[in-house]
Amino acid sequence: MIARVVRVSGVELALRVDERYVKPLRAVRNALRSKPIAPVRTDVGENGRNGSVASSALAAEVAGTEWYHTMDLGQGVVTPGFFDHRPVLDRYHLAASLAGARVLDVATYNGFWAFEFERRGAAEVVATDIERFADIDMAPARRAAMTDEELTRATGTGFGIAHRALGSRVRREIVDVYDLSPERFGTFDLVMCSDLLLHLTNPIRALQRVRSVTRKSAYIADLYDPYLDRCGPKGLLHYRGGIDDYVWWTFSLSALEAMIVDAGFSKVTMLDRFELVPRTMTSAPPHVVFRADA
Amino acid sequence: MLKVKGLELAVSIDERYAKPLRAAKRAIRRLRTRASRRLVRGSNPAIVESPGAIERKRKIGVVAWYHTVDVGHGVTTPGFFDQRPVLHHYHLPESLAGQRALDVATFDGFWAFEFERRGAAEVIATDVQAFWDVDLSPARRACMATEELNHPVGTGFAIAHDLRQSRVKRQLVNVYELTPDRVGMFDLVMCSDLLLHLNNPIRALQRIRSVCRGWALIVDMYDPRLDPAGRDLVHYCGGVSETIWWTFSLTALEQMIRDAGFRSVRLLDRFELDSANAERLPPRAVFRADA
Repeated sequence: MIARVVRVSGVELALRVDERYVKPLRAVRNALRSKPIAPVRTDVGENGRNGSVASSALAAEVAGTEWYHTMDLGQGVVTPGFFDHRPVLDRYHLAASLAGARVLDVATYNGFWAFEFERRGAAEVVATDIERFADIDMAPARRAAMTDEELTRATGTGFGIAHRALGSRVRREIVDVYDLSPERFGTFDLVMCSDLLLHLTNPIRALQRVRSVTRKSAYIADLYDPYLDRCGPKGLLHYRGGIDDYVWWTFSLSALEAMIVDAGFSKVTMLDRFELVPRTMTSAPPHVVFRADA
Repeated sequence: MLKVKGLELAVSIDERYAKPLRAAKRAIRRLRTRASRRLVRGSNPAIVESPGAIERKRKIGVVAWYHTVDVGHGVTTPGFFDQRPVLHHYHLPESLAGQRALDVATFDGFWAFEFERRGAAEVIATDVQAFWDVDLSPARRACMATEELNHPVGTGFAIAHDLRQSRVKRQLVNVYELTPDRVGMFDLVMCSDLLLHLNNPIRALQRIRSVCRGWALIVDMYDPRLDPAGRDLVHYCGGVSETIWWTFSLTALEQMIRDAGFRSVRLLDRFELDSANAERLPPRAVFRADA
């Protein structure tokens, strides 16, 4: 444990950070603070198409915003996302074809999963998100440390760029995970909830809402801490306080699984576990993917 | 598979919860019969009771009590928890004269009446309306009959309030909806044995902070096994047994209170308090949080 005292707007915070997280946390913070990185150009050297007007306009647009997801937008432009799910896509064990399926991507952010579901032929894809950063579950100290500009920043800029570039028909709706209900958008064959729960003060309620709109299967992916299932009773969570990167918890596998079961799913299966290290970082806690059947 | 009142519910209960669920059911049944039984056991025919005492016993006999509350004429309610022997562990000031005090999730009102007794200028006691409004897990909710869900919370409060001729004001406000606009600001806010029953203790603490201009007492059970790990651990319990969602490590609870925006947080005391059925419970911690 490293004890740190942080002073934010005259508020003194005694912040304790676990040794193991200090380095990754710093890396994340630095990455977030750094200027947007130029988009990766995969078309360099390709005959004749290099530097076309359309692609350079898209590249400029992509360079003008920050990216969480790494996505191939075509025209040789790949977004420089903090996470690149493409190399680990098979670890999510999605059906190759989603033909006829109605799919929901919860907290879509840049839309990687929504566009992936569309690519796999889903009949309809709804992508939900909050409108502004101010709508995130934030600790009061974190909120106080943010400027109005940061708080009112829209979450959907990258999504919009990708949506246009891909000619997507995905429908993006502004709705908090806590407000999901069958009355609002109906029920879905597949619901994706990827890397969201750790950012919520109330993962229990979120899972209950996800369950309420799932008519077949939900995929729940999150970070977990393998140490937690070795150091005491099953069902432990590590409370993280929501200050750094809005992370409130790291779950033990047993706690996350129990939470999903308790949300009312009839069957919960652990599909896979893997490492997904963000760009600019050398290590990160492992990921787990659960499939929860309604 | 559960069969409730002839209805077959396709609720699959995790093996781990089957036992606590049954225990919870038994506990509720016990609780219901306890009040009347204890009244009978408590009355000593050798002592001639005043008409006031007899009337009081009749009035309090119609509900199950969570708190042991003194209702006068030597009569106390047969509560599931009796805080009186451990009252000193809460380190309340003798006098609360001139203070505006809030008792969050008051239930039968023990703390609200105690603040009034200590001379608080104004005491507001908040609670949810019915068990429907409690943070219940879907499995737990499915097991409950409509009449149980619609059952008002804290039916004892009105009885005790009447018998004590109290001026405490009870308001139906969920802890998640506490705001200065709704209830005003308070010199003292009490949040006793509530957080463990909530899906979202973080949000609850933030709302408590928002209406606190003086200090808050945050009391909850903790799990001493969790603290040696050296990090802020919380044990997820699933909300099935007694609607308990978590037990906290001391450090996690303290950190949660701090993160809600309190300037200083101090552990005042730790103690054990068994329930009326002599059930051994985890110890409790009392934190003082200054706004």
